[in-house]
Amino acid sequence: MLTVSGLCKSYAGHPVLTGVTFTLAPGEALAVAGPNGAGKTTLLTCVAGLEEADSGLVALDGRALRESDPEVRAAMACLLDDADYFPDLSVVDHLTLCAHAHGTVDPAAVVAAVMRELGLSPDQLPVTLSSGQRHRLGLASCLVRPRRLLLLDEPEQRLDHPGRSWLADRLGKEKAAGVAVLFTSHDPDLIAAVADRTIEIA
Amino acid sequence: MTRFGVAALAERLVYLVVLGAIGAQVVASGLSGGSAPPIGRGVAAALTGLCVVLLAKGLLGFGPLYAGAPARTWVLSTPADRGRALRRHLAAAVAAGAAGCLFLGFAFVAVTRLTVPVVPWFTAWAAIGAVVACGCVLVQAGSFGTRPVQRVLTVLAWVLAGAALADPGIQVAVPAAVALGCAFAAVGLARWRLGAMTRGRLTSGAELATATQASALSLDVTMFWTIVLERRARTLGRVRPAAIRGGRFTALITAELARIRRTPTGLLVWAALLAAPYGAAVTPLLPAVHVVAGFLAVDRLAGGLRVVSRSPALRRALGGSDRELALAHLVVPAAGAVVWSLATLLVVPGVTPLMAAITAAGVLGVVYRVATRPPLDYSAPVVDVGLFGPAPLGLILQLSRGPALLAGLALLQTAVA
Repeated sequence: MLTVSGLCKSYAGHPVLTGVTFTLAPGEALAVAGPNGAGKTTLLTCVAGLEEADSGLVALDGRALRESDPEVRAAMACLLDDADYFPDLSVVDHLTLCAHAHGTVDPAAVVAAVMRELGLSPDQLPVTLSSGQRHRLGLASCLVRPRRLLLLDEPEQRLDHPGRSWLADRLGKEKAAGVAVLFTSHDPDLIAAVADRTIEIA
Repeated sequence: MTRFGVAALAERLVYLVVLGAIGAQVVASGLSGGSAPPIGRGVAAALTGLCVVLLAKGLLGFGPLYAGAPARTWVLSTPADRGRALRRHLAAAVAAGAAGCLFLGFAFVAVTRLTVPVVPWFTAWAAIGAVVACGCVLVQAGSFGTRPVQRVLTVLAWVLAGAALADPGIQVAVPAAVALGCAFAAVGLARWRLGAMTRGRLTSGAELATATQASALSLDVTMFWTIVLERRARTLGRVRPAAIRGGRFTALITAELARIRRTPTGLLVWAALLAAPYGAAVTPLLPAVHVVAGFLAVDRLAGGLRVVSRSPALRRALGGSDRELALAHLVVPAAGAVVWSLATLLVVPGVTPLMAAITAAGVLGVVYRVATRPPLDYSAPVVDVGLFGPAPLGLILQLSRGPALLAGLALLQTAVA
């Protein structure tokens, strides 16, 4: 489903990614691990098409991945560190809009279920949410819409202990539903619980 | 309600009066067979009241006293006499208030062509500005609750409007003397309360001040509006769920409408800007004023387009192509442009169908180009532009997708007219 081959990226002559290669099949989870500054987030942003790699190929379903392609946007749900919101739409408004925009079947029920799972207050505006709640809103926006590939940058960050357990359980269900998961993490427990394979970036 | 929302009610009332005054003027003009002047003291008075409220709102948005990071770290954290340290800031705020109100007094006389005694008239306006600025400082210091201030602002706006409607031959010497006395008392009171100003209250406006500075330097109001929108959202806190339903395109539009309904001031500004071409109806500036006011009105409805254009994460989350998202978020501004132009065609003497059509289409184009322009690229090369010296290419591109485009449209409208 997702193919990454020979991906290279450097900043100001300093190589960050050198020839990263992997494939990801439906229902499979791949964890990207490594110390701070190793290039985990850079890899995800290159895969998501936010940053252009110096060389190499990222392909989705055999076609070169282009972030602005509607088919790519329909297939790929991302939670990266550039998450953003409409300042005057509430939590439930964002999720409902996201669900309707992607043609979710029975959007009201799906949104209500996801909000219940994540303990989100429906009528709050994003600016009034704590960083942890905002992170949960980002996760929720990935879960209220149809998806085939989940791209998550350190999804465990800012989650409390029960939240991390929920996340591991939820990602397991995503895999079981045939969704491919590519995520970066510093949490060995989450990696052990979810990942089928791990790539280390030094 | 927070400080930032203090003037909201008074402001909205005055917007309604502006529209009511225009309507009354149009009816009066119709009844008298078109002999009534296109702008009267009613409209000018309501607009003046509105501007005073906006001035107070602007001052409250910035503090009006604020301390930047260096002062916050090196002065306010020490046991230095805070009242003494802030006197210059108070003087600057009073000067800003007085200057703003002096300009309003001048604009009122210029528009209505009233004959007034110059010194008492402008003394009164400067004193009113000083009172407004000091009132804002007292609010910042926590001396007043928001409700009394809201009432005072409302009363002040209506007293000003009423006074402006009074007999042109009115003696303003006595009110000017009273206003001057009030100004001195207000300055004394504000100065006395400076020592009670906390660090938190002094830094509340720093974020907006920094954003304003950055926006002014880069000729891009995005950063400024982002902070303003966030502040508004904080004052709202919680909202009722919007009725978002339908297919993809419909859902995007209903969400956009819900966002506009939640901040009705934007809609009122859109409507109140009808007063601008109305005021310029008998002048050769009408075509240009029509374009600029149209742009300002329609731009208030393009918040969604601005947010979506600057946020790749939102575009990814909403799906579809960038063009489709832009189109969906252009529907409301487009409707706003058409209705606004039609309204001016109906109520403003001198606006022709061609002028209305050019403004509707042109303004929508400018709003689109401004909302979708990329942020200033500081790494771009510097180009020598002769008289103005070397300028970053990015800055020139910002101009070409903003003020320059609007100026070009205004010139085109003037040439066609």
